[in-house]
Amino acid sequence: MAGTLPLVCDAMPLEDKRGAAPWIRKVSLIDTDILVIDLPPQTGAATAAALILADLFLVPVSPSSLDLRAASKALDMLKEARVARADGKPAALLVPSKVDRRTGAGREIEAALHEMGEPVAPAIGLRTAFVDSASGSDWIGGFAPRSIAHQEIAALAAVVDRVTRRKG
Amino acid sequence: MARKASLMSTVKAARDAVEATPTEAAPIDRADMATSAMHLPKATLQLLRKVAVARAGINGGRPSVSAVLVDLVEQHRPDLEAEIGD
Repeated sequence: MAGTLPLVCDAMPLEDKRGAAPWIRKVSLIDTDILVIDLPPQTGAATAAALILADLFLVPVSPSSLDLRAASKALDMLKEARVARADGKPAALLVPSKVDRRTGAGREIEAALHEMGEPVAPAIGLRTAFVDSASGSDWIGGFAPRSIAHQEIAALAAVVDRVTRRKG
Repeated sequence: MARKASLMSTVKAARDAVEATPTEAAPIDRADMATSAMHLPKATLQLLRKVAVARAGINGGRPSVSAVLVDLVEQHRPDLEAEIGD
């Protein structure tokens, strides 16, 4: 499942809220410095369960009205989670994704995201290198080290690191 | 009519229930333990890590590749000892 990624991957589906307790227990028992939970595109039980545990919520948003609408729904669920947790967590980063600066939407995506009230991360471009690395079961740093695509991911990782250290 | 609980409130209740019944880690006998670096094929290491994570998911506690290796050695101890004439 991990391909040649330099980390451990595991599939832990959560279809509805009735499975939330065992899912949360399983995730809580994972002893690691960094745990990344890859969520499905729709905001359902898995997103809610992840938000109740996470320190940081990354929301990739491509320059389209459909994605902006979906991001807005995700942020609504984020607000619910912050109220439920009462500790101000999780933090959030809106990540402009698949950005093509040659288009009007690509040039305006950061401005649109700034209006949503959460911090905006450095943009990730629309690059075939990402598709090719995924097809090769590798991450971009292994597939195309020092490429612009790799640099974009490194910039995002630096912001994530800074935000998670600040939140403690 | 009773108000249906929201998804977030249900999930929070699940988290609170989990935190109220913590799973204790199994005690570790640290006598006669030694640490060593090993050079393994990537695929072998990934398999060991996946098994460690899967076992931790079932048994609780921290994923341990070392524990998987110890299990494998103990399962095959007679064969291994036969190789060295023990």
